Formats: sequence, structure tokens, C-alpha cells
Amino acid sequence: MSVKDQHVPADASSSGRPHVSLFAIARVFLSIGALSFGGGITGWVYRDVVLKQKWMTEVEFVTGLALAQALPGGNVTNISVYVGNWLRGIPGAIVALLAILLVPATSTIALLAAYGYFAELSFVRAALDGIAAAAIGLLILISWKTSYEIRASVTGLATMAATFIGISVLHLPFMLIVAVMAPLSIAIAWPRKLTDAE
Amino acid sequence: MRSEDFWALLFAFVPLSLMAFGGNLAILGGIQHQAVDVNRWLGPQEFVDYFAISRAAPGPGSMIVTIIGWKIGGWLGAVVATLTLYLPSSLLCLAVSRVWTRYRGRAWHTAIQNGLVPVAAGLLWVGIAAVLEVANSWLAIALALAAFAVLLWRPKINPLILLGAGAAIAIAVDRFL
Repeated sequence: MSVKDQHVPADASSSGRPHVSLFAIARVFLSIGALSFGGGITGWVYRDVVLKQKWMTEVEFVTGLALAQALPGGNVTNISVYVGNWLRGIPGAIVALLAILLVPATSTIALLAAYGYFAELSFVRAALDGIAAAAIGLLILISWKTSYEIRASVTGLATMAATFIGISVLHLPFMLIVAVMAPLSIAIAWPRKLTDAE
Repeated sequence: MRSEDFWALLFAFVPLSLMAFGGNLAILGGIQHQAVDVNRWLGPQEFVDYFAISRAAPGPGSMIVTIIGWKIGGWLGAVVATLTLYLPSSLLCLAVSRVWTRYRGRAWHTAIQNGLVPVAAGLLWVGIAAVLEVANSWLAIALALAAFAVLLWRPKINPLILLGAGAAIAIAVDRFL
């Protein structure tokens, strides 16, 4: 099996990372920022970066997402920084962060100006709810695909279920669950004998 | 924008940025406390209204800080407030990302990655449950599932078609049901 066939290439410098221009990063993250109504934004990032542009593999993106969620800060900005850095280092991270924030920040100000008018129109609110709901479909897609990735592992599925139940059903603190489940899951995944990919 | 406003924004939002475990909605209470009680930039009702406006705009859920900055110091204030909330956490994430990406391919890196995937999957379902809980309507759940089905069928569909259809159906239901 060649290095290119693996999820994780041998080292970052000779990896199968595509050459992506800063302009392309700006264009993709600007459009994600502009289109991502009502949450589900990480779903848009996933769709563009993994499905459409094929800049990253599923596993590379999802582990980045785990880092983005475990670290403080907005998940969207964190995953943008992670993807930008992965593609083009520090300049890539800066471009991705500023691009994802630009349209949301300016349109928030624009909405503030138009608020008095918009608030009267019930169809505007209905439309925004509908847009937000459709965007959740993307989140379900990425969760579904990630769950599919671990379907063969009973412990993996158990870990996934325990994480979800702990936070969403039992309402235990987010950080507590991450602090317990992440080391536990890594310990389970740890191979008996460590062998580097190359 | 006066320089004391600049420092006040910095002191208000930089610590919150680094405390936002689980995303920026986790520090919404902190933002409210700083903006309403500590600095009196906004009244309590203003905060609620502006939060709703910021949620209607595209993008991350905590753009209310942009509005707060705008109220304090116009465009410059908006830029400063947005960056004070997003930059510190982004710098931390950048540092961790760089260390993480540097060791790709090492056996321990792969082991950690494999271990994190199930936890990430669980957290993704947590995110969906949280958003649907806020939406709290059968229409939202039905639309989300329909969008999911369309995406399984056509993953590269133009997002505007999907979002437009969601908006159209929601308006139709609002009007006729």
C-alpha cells in the first residue's frame, strides 16, 4: 500500500496535501460564512472541504473537529483555523478565520439597521427557521458519515453513545465528559505495539 | 472609539474567549454579564433583542459581540469586539493545530486520532440534539431529515437550492397551516 492510499501520510512535508491557494481558501470560507444560517456551519465546512474540494480526508477533518470542539472558542472559527493551517500554515489559518467572519459580521450590522422593518414580517422569521432547519441536515450527514466510519468497532460505537448520553441525556458538564471519554477512548484505541506509518 | 472603550472590550471578552469550552454559546451568560451588568453597554431587553438579530444573520452564533462593539464605537468598535472574542481562542487553536499537524503519521498520533473519532462522533450528535432542542418544532426536525436525505442522494448539491427549499417550505407552512 502506498503512502497516498493511507489516511495518514508519513510526514507532513511529503504528504498528499493538495496545493491550495490562499485565494481559494478565502473564496471557500467567505461563501461558507455567507450561507451558514442558524447553526450547522461545521456541516458546511465539511461539505466544502471534504466532499467538494477534497482538501482533506474524512478522518483528518473529524479529528480536527474533535480538537476544535475540545478547545475553547467557537467551533466554527476553530475548525476554520485548523483547516486553514492544515492547507497553508499560519497565513492559511489567518485567511480562513477572517474570511469566515467577514460576511456574518457585516450582515449582522446590516440586520441591526433593518431590524425595525424585518421584525414585523412573520414570513421572514419562518424563512430563517426553514433555512436553519435545512442546514441541520448537513450536520446529520457528517454525523452519519462519522458514525459509519466506526461501525465495525463495538467499543467505538459504545464510546460514541456514552459521549452523547452523558451530555445530551444526563446533562453532565461538557468538559467533564470530554475529559473522561477522550483519554479512555484513546487508551482503548492504543495499539499493543506502536509502529510508525513509514 | 475611545481608548478606555478599547481596553474595556479587551478585558471583557479576551478571558471569555479562552473560557468558551463547548463553543461560544457556553459564554453567552458571561457576555451578557459583561455587556449589561459590568460595563452597561446595553440594557437587559436590548441584549435579548440583539441576540435574536445576531442569530438571524449567517455565521457563528455569537455575533452579538459585533453588535455590542458597533454600539460602542461604530465600525472600528465592531471589528475590535469581534476580534477580542474570536482571536484569543483562534490563536490557541492555531498553536494546538500546528503541533498536532506536525506529527501526522507517527504511530501515537494515529492512535490518538483513532481514539478521538468516536468521541467526535458523539459530540456531533450532541450538537444536533442541541440545535433541534432550540428549534423545538416538528417542522424543523422534518426539514432537517429531508435535507439529510437529499444530501445522502446528492452530496454536492448547491447549498442555495437546499436552503431555498427549506425557506420556501417553512413559509408555506407558516401561511397555510
